[in-house]
Amino acid sequence: MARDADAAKAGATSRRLRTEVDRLLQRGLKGLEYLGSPAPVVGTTPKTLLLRRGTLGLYHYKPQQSEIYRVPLLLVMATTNKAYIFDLAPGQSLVEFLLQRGYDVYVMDWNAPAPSERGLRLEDYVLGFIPDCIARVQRHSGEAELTLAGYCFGGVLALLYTALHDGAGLRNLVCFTTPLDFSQMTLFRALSDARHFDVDKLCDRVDLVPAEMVIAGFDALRPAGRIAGQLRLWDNMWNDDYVKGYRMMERWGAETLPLASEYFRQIVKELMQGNALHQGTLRIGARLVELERVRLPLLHVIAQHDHIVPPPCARPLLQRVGSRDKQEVMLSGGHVSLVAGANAVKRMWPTLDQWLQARST
Amino acid sequence: MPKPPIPDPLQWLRKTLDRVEGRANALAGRGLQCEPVLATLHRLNAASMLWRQALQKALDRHCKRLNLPTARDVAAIQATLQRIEDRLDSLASPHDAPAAQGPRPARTRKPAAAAPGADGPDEAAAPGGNAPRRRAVRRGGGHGTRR
Repeated sequence: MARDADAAKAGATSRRLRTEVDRLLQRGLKGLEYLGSPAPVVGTTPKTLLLRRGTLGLYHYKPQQSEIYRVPLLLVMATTNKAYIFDLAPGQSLVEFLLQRGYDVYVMDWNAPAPSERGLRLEDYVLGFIPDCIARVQRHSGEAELTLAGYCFGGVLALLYTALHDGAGLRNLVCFTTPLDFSQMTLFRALSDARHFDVDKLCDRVDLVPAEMVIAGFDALRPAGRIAGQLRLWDNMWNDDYVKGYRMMERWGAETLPLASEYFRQIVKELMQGNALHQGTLRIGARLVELERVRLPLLHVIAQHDHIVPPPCARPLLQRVGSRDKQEVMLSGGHVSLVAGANAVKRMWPTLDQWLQARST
Repeated sequence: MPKPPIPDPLQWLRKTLDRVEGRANALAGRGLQCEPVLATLHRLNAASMLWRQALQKALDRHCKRLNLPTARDVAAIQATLQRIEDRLDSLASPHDAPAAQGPRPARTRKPAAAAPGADGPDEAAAPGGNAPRRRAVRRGGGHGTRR
């Protein structure tokens, strides 16, 4: 009996040693391969460009089911990043998941604005780009109503559109980790504190707020994150799936977009410093944004460990809208892992599907 | 399965990394609430921006001297090309017309749990009672006008 236990122990030791030596070798070999290999391919789900207008691109994804839900879904990406976070790779794509579940998916993506677009304002997004895309989706799908779903600041834009147009052309509104009470974004607020940060001086001087500055702003919230991420990458270098996922996320983060200077000025002064959306004083094109005019069925998905839009910043949304059919879902995860990655596959995607399917017929 | 006698050699390092990362981020977070740190950060940022602009100006001068297009010139050409491409896309694209799209999937899908004939949201789950409205969009309708 004791001899069997000793043999099992020796077997386990030998297996452990073999695994560690193997991983050590693989870390070295794959580390070299990593340095020389190109960036991973992302956003491969077949799609068609329906509209391109400067910084805006509207895409339609090819349906993957012979029978789809009546109400199309239009995803609005945050203006700081590319929308391929919704479509990283087969098996890791929210878009692919939704197509397989029978939705007709459209996505509003953003390109880096040109210097000539320095004058873009919130009004251009809320009263121009979104209504234009809704009209295009209506014509393309032949349906009068659609579901508008915005991620992060894309959620703010979707919310502003809905409030200012009484939800015209919409059946449902979905917000993913959408900030409302900007006073609760303590670190971002500290970074944009008017006593230290002269946003006018910056925006008068540049056409576009450089992407590096936007990235530095995000990095300042978790300055140790980058180096810790690289150490974890080395530790997991033997694991191809981990490396692939890391590289896709790294690419997405590195492809952060610059922002039009007027748009940035408006966000900093009115939302960040003035907290005008939460205080009910925000005006878009001289019209007051009244959130109680949002009466559509609303789903708000919040991430429990979101360091960019912490839950106290996002939670007031549900109380402020006039919808009767409204639901807030708090899921475990962070700002990005809410929509992409293994967490999202298990948690957010099925939640979204469950909520949408009854409201998409 | 017997417990391996040799613990994972990197497990301790992984836990330490998690702890150190958490503490460093918390410390930085507290730093951002501290006036002098914030002021220094902004001064550094402003200096970096000035440096970037000075570098850009120097590069532009250099390009002009060599009779090469500056970054701004290239951006202007890019914007012009983009406008032409957009215009061509809008002229050539038949995407907007549903008839031009060929056969498309039927929009008749129902939720898996829905009973036959019940094609709307569960009223209990949807207190708003937004009854499903089925109407086709008017051609040329919508609200696509830019302000």
